[in-house]
Amino acid sequence: MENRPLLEVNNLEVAFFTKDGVVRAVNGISYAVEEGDILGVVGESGCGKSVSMMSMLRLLPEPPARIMGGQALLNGRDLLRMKSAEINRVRGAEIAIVFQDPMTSLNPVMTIGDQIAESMQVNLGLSHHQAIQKTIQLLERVGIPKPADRVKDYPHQFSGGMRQRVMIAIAISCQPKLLIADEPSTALDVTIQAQIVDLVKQLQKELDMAVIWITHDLGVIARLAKRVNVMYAGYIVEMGPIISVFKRPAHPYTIGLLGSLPGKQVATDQDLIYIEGAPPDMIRLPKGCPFELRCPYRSDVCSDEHPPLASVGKDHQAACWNL
Amino acid sequence: MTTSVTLPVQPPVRYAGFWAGAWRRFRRNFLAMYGIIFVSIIVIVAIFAPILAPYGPLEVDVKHTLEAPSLIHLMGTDAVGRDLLSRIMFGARPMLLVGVITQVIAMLIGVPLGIIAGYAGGIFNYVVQRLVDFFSALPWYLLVLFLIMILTPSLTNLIIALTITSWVYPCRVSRGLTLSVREMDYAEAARALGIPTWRILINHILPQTAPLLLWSFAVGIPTLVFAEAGMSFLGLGIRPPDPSWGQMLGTAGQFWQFFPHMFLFPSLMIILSILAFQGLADGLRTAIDVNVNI
Repeated sequence: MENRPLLEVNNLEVAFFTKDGVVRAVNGISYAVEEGDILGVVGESGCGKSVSMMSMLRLLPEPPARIMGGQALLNGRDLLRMKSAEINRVRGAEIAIVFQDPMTSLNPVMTIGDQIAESMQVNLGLSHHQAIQKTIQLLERVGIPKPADRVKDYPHQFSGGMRQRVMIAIAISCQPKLLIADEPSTALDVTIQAQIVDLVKQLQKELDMAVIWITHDLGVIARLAKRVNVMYAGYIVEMGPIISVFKRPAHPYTIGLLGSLPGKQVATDQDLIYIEGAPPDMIRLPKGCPFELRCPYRSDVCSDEHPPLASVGKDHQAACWNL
Repeated sequence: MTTSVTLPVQPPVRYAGFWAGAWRRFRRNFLAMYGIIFVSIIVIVAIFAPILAPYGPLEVDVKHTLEAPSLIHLMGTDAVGRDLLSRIMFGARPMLLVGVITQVIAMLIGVPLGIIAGYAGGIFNYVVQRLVDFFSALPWYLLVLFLIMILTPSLTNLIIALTITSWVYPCRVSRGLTLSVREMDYAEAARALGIPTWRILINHILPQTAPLLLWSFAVGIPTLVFAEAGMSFLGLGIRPPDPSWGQMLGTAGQFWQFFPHMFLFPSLMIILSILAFQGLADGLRTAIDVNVNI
């Protein structure tokens, strides 16, 4: 069991070739996802979280995007070297994505039922009638009341939270081994967020699938994930078991992130703590550590050489010269 | 002092559906209503011309030639004594055939080309775009004239020549829409689910372009009606003795100072039907455009 993880990403590198220069969005990240695992990926906007996932499924438009190197092994098969027909069979059937914005990710002129059924018709070869029958069960499973009536409804007749449940129903319809949730709770309000997180957690247990959950929200990660990757400027700067990373953060960026969570400042009317500065220009990444300019602990070596990931605990690694 | 005010209970606003709303907007448009009524009449007359027409289109009444409208011949007769009303009724047939069939074929060619070019991009898009540029740059009237000269004038060749020039517009419209729809999140989501490209095109892209394509179908017809009349007028469309409005105008040209009725009725029919098709198209556009709410 332990010999081969479900998904193993090695040195994945993705760049965008734009008029202004080469945007190095993902710079050699490596991680693994075991079967039935829940991996959280956190980082600020533009740090390569989504791009690394989309590039794995080869959903980025090429050009301008180009996968510069690396491997993404799903059960030993390299997704990055598959023919387009092969990768198309992986999409939906083995790896499914739930997108961020449920308001725009459903086709407004297709009924909910047809949209969920379409994936099963394509990936499982069901007839339209069979697929609709399964769709009703799926809608029930994701907690949509009166599913038999609602399959004929259009997306605008659903609320945001309901639509995200529909998106999840589409994603799990073909029983994928890996579900990638790309900030699925970001566009929802907090009470609905919690419901969606719980729903995914429950489905993950029932269907025994692995989940990669991309988010800005450390609270969601803490509630859900077993492991976490912290990304910054296209690098994984820290990765490890959730408890270890949250209790003993090793990278200054992770420390800053956790420190900036609103806590007792709200009650005592103090200013919120934040990390000063802005992430580096992805076209002109610094030679050394990408976090150097914002780092309170920087030293000379930081601007000269990029720090490698080093072990800081059991299964817990961070990329910093000051460990 | 408390007075309880009972608010009138508002009935819940029900969304009546897209087509109900479109029909409501269409109904309020005078020109559109004129268009749909006039077009319906013309279609019925064209279909049932053999039953409705008082005489055959080629039937010659030698005792009544070049006669002004009378009770026997409601629109008068032409130089060889053919009943003008009957000829106008039969003349609606080539007009509709050219207008509708050409437009159907043009859409069948232009829409798939536009959608595929817009979705796929790359070299295919480049080739289709240059073809579109080529046909847009040339004056279509001259091109049609030229093609008919090569092909010999007839109804079929007129349709072929007009098709060659009129696929361009639906192609441009559908390509433009495809470019925007393919970037939508739901198109991305469909790709992420492994939905094959042809299915994305048919299930996700085509329905989005449908309202605008319906309009572009209707808006192309007046031009074609005009083209048929013009070509027949020049003797390059419907050949005599078969009736066509444009061709009737052409023959009336020699007599117009003395027998204006020969001139009047066909030209009136051409003007009224072009106006009707145009009104219908404009009405459709405002009716199905969800951004215009009147």
